[in-house]
Parts: sequence; structure tokens; C-alpha cells
Amino acid sequence: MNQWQNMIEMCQQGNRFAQNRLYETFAGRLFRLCMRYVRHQQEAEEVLMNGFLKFFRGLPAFEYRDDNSLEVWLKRIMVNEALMHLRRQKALPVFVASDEADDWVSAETPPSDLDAEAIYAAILELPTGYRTVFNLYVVEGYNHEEIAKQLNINVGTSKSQLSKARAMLQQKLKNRGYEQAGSV
Amino acid sequence: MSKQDQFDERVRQAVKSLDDTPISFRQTELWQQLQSELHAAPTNEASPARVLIRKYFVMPTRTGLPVRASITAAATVLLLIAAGLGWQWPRTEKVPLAQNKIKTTETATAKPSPKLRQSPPRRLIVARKTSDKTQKFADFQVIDNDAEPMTIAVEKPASQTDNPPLALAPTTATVLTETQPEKKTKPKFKVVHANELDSYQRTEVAATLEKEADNNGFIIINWRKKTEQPSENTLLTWLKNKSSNPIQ
Repeated sequence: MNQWQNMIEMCQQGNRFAQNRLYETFAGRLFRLCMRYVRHQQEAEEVLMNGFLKFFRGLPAFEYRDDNSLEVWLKRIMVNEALMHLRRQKALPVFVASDEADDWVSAETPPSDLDAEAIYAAILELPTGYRTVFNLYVVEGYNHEEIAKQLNINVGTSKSQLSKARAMLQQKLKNRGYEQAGSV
Repeated sequence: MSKQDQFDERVRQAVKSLDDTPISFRQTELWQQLQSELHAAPTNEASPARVLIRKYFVMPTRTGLPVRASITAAATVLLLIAAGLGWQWPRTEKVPLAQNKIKTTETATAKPSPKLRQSPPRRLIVARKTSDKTQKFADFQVIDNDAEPMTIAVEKPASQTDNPPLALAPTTATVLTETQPEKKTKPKFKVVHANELDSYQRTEVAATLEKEADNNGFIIINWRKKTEQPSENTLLTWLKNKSSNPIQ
């Protein structure tokens, strides 16, 4: 039996040691994920906590397939929780459809020496609407239909928001000294 | 792969490579908080008082009704129940009045004979005609009427009654008991109104009783003469119906 499968079964039985092990493994990564959406540490911790509560309470219904499925499920819970938090805070702006979708075309190949921390910091500086769509599409891998459904917007709006987010991120990276990435 | 996709891929890889926990993240404190939340929830839900409060007061607020509305609704229901009970209360007290009626009949007569006391409730009592003019009725004749569903002249001693009689009834009974030895020749009779005999079966019994009363020198008080002739007709009709349809 896989180590994680065994751990999940112990968690399902309410074993605190197993719960702590699972928490310590994923908490850091998931905290960063929450930060990418809500930006403030206190709010990210709140989202993380609510997400883990939902995870542990819903764990008895979880069917283990592989280690990746566990992480995917955890991330999905956290993303949903973060979006719910943004809705509650009314932080999500009213998205207006635009014809500027996919109007950004990078003229040059992006640099390979992009610093992860710099990108992470630049993403956090994006406005909430751009940041949310960019995170959902680029990092989490949702398509525009899914994003439109999640945010209750239309697909065109999602595309235009993504385009603007990319342009703004390029600009921010350029400002940070990544000239090649900032070429729009 | 387009440049957009390349950019996206670079960003994706960069973000996923950030595995380290941020310094500002309070991992241990959050875990303790999470533990308290996780293991406090079942005890809260197990409390029956909480379940009741949530069911009757908290849940309505979630569905849109304010707490005051639910309390008012509960109070209204209680009030209606109380009003319903209050309306029913005099009805339950009226039940002994029927017994009082029977007891009144008893006071008009003499003390019933022991034979009558032991008799089951469904009996028809007919007084016997005597030669003495001053003493019209000498004795009772009790005819068993269990075969027919007649419910008249129910006679029960006070001690044997299921429901306690009214307060006046026992005192009257004691007076009658004391005066019984002095008035042995006082006529004894039981009044049974013939209006009670309105069904075919009762008519048949009444006709039988009437014949027996004539043969034995009894009379039936307040017997409607018009039922003499029709009673035979009705009895014949009833017997015909009975023979043609034995189920009835």
C-alpha cells in the first residue's frame, strides 16, 4: 500500500498524527496558493484554515487514486475557498467584456532566467480581477469556459482579463529588470 | 508553442517551484487552531439542546424568518392548543349529567330489588298489575334483553359504577334505603318510555314483552296503542325480510 494511501486512511479514521503529517506536507505550498488569490497574509491563513477544515471533514468521502489526485483535490478546495472569500469580501471587480482579448503578443522569447520569487511578487501586485483570471488560467490550468463559470462572467471577458493580466505582468517584470520579459 | 504559451509555461514552472514555506506563515499556530476546530465540532453537534435550539430558532433565521417570528409562531400554536383544551373541558364534564338523568329516575322509584341490582345493564323492566287499587304495581319483572341492542333503564349501584355519580345521587340512595322497610307496599315500577323502541328489533321485543305482560297480568306503562297493530305488520315485514335475507 502506498504511503500516502495509508496516511489518508489514517486521516479518515481521525488519526491526529496522520492529519498533522498531511498538513505539514501541503500547508506551505497551499499557503502560497492562497496568497496569490487574496494577497494578505491574514486572509490567506483564514482561507487555508477553512480549506483544510473542509478537506478533513470531506476526507471520508475521498477515494484515493494516486498521490497527484490528493494534491489536485486539495488545491481545488483552496482555490474554491479563496474565490468564495473574494466574493464575500466583494473584492472581485465587475468584469466588463472587452474586445482586447488575446491582443497581447510577445515579440520576443521570454527569458529563461525568470526568478520564481520575482514572478510570484509580480503576480501579487496585479489587480484582483487580472490576478484571479491569470492564476486560474496560467497556474491552475483552468480553461476559459471553466473560469467564466467560476467567476460568473462570459468567456470573452475571461480572455480579455487574461490578456491584460499578461501585459501588466510583463510590464512589472520589466520594471524589475527583466527587459526581455517586458517586451510587449 | 506560441510565445504566450511559453511565457505561461515559464510562469507556471516558476510558481510551482516555490515549495518552501514563507517565513511569515504561522504554520504551527494555524495547526493548533485547526485541531481545536476539527475536534470541537463533533461535541457541539452532539449536544441535544443545541440541536433543538438550532432546529427551532436558528434554522428559521437561515431560511429568512427572524427569531421573533418563530417564537411568536410557537406561542400561537401553544395558545391554540390551550384554547382547544379549554373548549373541550365542559364537554367532558357533561358526561355525568346523563347518569344524573338515570339517577333521577331511580329517585322517583323505590329502591330496586337485589335481583335488579345484579342484573346486567341491558334489561327492560315492566311493572305488574295488581288487584289492589291503592297499590298499582307490586313488583318488577325483569326480562333479559341482551339479545337485542337496547340501552334503556341502566341500573347500577353507586359502588359498581365506573364513573362517579353526581353528588346528589348517593344521598338520595341512602334515604331510600332507610325508608325501604316502612313502605313495603309502595308500588315499585320502572319507567321505560316506548319511544326508545323505534327499530324493528326493538319493536319485536316490545311486542313479545307486551304479549307476555298480558298473559302474566302485567301492564306496560306509557305504551303506545298504535304500535299494537302496526307492530305485527312491521314484525311480519321484518321477519319476511329476515327469512329472505338471512345475513340481515
